[in-house]
Amino acid sequence: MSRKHLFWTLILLAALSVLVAGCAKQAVETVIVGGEVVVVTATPEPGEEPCDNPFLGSCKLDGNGIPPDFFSDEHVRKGFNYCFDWDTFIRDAWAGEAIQNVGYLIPGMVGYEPDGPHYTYDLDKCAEELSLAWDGAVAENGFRMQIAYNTGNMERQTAAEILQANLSEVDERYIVEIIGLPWPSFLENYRNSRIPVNISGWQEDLHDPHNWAQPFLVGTYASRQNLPDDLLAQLKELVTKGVSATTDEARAEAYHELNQIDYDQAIAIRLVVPTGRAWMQKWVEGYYYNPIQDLAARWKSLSKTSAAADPTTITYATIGDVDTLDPAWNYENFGDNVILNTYEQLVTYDGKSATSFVPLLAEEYSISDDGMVYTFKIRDGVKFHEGQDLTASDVEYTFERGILQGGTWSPQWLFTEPFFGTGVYDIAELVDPSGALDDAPEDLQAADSAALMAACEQITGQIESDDAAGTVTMTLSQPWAPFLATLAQSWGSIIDKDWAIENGTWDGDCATWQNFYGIDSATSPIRDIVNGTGPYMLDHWEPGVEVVVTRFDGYWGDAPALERAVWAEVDEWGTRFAMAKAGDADLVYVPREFVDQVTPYASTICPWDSDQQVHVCEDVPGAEDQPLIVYYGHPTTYRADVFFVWNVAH
Amino acid sequence: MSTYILRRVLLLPLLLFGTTILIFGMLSFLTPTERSALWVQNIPRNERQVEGIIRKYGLDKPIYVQYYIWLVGNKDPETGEYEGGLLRGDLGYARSASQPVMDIIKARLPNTLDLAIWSVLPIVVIGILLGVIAAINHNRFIDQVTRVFSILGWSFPTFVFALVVLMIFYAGLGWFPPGRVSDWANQVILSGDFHTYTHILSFDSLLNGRFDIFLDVIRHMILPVITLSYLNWALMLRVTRSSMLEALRQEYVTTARSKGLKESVVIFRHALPNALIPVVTIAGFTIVALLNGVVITETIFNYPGIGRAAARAALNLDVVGILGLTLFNGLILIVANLVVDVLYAVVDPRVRLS
Repeated sequence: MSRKHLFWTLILLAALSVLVAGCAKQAVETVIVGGEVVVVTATPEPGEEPCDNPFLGSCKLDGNGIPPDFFSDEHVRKGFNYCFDWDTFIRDAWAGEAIQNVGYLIPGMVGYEPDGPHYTYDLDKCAEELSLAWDGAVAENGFRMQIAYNTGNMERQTAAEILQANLSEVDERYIVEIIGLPWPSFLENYRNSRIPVNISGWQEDLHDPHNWAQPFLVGTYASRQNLPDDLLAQLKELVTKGVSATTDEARAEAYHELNQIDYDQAIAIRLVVPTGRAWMQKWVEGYYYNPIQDLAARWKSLSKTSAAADPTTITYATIGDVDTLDPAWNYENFGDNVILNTYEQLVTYDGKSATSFVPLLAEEYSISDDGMVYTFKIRDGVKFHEGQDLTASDVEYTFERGILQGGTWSPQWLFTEPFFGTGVYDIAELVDPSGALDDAPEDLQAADSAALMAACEQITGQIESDDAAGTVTMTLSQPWAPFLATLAQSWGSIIDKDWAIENGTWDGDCATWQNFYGIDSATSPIRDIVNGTGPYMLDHWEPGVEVVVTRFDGYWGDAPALERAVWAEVDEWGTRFAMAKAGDADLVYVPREFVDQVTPYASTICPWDSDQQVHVCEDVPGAEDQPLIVYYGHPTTYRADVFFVWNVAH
Repeated sequence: MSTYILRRVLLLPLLLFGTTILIFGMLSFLTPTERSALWVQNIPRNERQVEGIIRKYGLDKPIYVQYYIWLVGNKDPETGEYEGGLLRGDLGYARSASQPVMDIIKARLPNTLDLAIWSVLPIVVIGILLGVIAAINHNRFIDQVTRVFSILGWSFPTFVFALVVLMIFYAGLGWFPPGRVSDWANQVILSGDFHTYTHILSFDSLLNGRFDIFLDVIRHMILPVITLSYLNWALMLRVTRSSMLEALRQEYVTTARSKGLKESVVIFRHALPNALIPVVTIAGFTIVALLNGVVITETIFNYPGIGRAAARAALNLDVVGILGLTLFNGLILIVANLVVDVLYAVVDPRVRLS
């Protein structure tokens, strides 16, 4: 190309970009939905609102679409439930490694009813319900609609395909088209309330029924389903009753009631809980399964036999990366695991149990009879990594600072609800209940200073410490059954007050908290430093490469066996597989689709015995020389469901 | 000659400017919600969460405003001063990498350079050598063999070849591990006793007199170097071969032969220098490709270079990361292009004179 043409090329590029920008809005619709299906846009009748929601087809029950409120008819929802085939789903989507779920809770928790009301696969009932739907209009004309899932989720695609196949078997005019959307487009359409049926999943924060009832019946998912107000009010009342009841019996009663409503209303198709697998070298010892606590969250429970080349360092070849190491901000799994090894909480899980607790940094604790006042006696002689002593005021500061730092993308909503009442998701809502100040630090700083002061004084009044007695008292706004479970997670990690303030977190003064509110995960002053009381210290975190922790010699408890633990970030499965074969990875993350590839390398397999709640190991004949051991069959704490939306935008 | 170089240097910022405009133009294909997906990895708990992200990062501002902010930074409402922005050398925070783009480049460029330096030598020298051998044995058995050998390499998908060598030489034989260095070597490097002079590990380990670490670094680089070499030899070979054949047919070669010069002198003194002129361009582009990071090779051998970071940014739709790294790649490409053009003029008088 001659040099003088270069200038014109540049001009052309610039013009092109402007053109591209101009066309963008128009292009999006076609790009997203055009890929897989034909977009039919109905011509509106005079006086009728136009319908351009491609998920609804013609937007009418004319055999070529569905009305926006299609799923507000309970017969439609029930019909869809009867048309779902769980056995096929478990076989095809999970290779048999899943358990059918009865109701909205997951197996093994308070309120879960193995024999409770639930739908079963029955094409006759499916046909019957759909023939009643919309006063027979569905059966008369048939329908056509789209079900969306976000791409990369094989199991969600399979769930949609099962519905598609069974509905068309009932009547070939019941047409479901399946559309896979990349996550950004899925989010866009979800947020615009365009998707009539969507398949989404939830990974629990705590192993407690409230953590399922809240998002699935009143929170995250339910709010997008546009449930009628009276139903939503009824659900909210029962969810609040379930979380604030003080005995397991009373809680179970509320959750059973919710289950009945969930069944009667057919709010969603409750799918399955997959079972998990943990792969490691045979020389790794001390493994046990706790549903809510990842293996990599407790290196102190593991050791390596002398068969290993390096018995003092453990290496976990995995994917992902830490987002932040500030315990008050971190809300994802990788960071959780690093934090749980380096920081400690007031209470922790009792071994394998996900529901009973033992004291950790609290020597003992007591709960008042009304279930609203928690008193913790703080352990003596505990030191932070940098040498400071743990005091009761550190504990008080930790929780106050976390809640005041806020941020709706942080886990702090798990504290604001018990302290300020259900439905309060952020400290800023104490200043403006409408939520307009959430995540808006500049607007919050401009708010009325008396209101700001009052919000801060409320929480500092609810958490009190006494250094002389070594006690911390927390007063909740209502009884909160999962409160100990909330404290036992990574966001309950105790930090050193002076160290934190020195590094630039909230200075402890109620007049200034708004200046520390609503940071983002990248800007927390204690984002990439750690000073906890845990058995391991952060050695280094090299983003995209590895996180390494080393044993803390001043640890108050029993010294852990392993001196060093490495999370190696290895994006490519083939590379992780090679590391496991070569013996360089002690633990390895194996995606479900590659299970068959690794199975021949296991000399010991340990299926889950659900009666005794343990893994029972056996040797694989003829595979004695293979290096790996696999624990499998234990139920995980994740589930995706098929959600119906009563009314979508058109 | 100098006016030519000057003109090219002056055009450089314009080209980079054009690159940024182009990338930002593509950005407007995405709605604010779609762009918020980088932060919003799950179904949001409530509506205001997504709004908060959009407001906080200004995703709903007109595209030219977002571009302006990216270029000159954010104005602090209290002090009135600007902070961040490309013109202040701040490429922004790449969420996909959990660090600022500048830090990615600082941390990763030395690694990519290390790999590039050790790969260039085998790629260029052996590639040219194979080409010369093929040309002087034109249509003989050895010519066919080298050609088939390198065409095979050229047509191998990188990920297949890389995985195969990884399985054989690491998983099977345990000789050459993936990654950057072994954990023991890393502990030494991160300790206070190890001085960083160049940030390029293979050099630094020698400068520190740690031959054991040097060997460890090389051990980790052997498989990626073999992969890159094998996949790139075909191109070097083909260009060298055909231009060598062309040169051998020239009259001055016949003249040289008829003067009674030894065949080796004819080939290496007379034919080769002229045959290498087009090879310079190809070699230049190979080096540029290596400097920009080799995405698949780095990913499979878990080598922490620029390419792996770029791959993560792209997969996560991390606009800031993509912009920053693309701009950086563009800079390298443009500068290297300039160098190649200048070299071209140096080795080929015809270019200089026209």
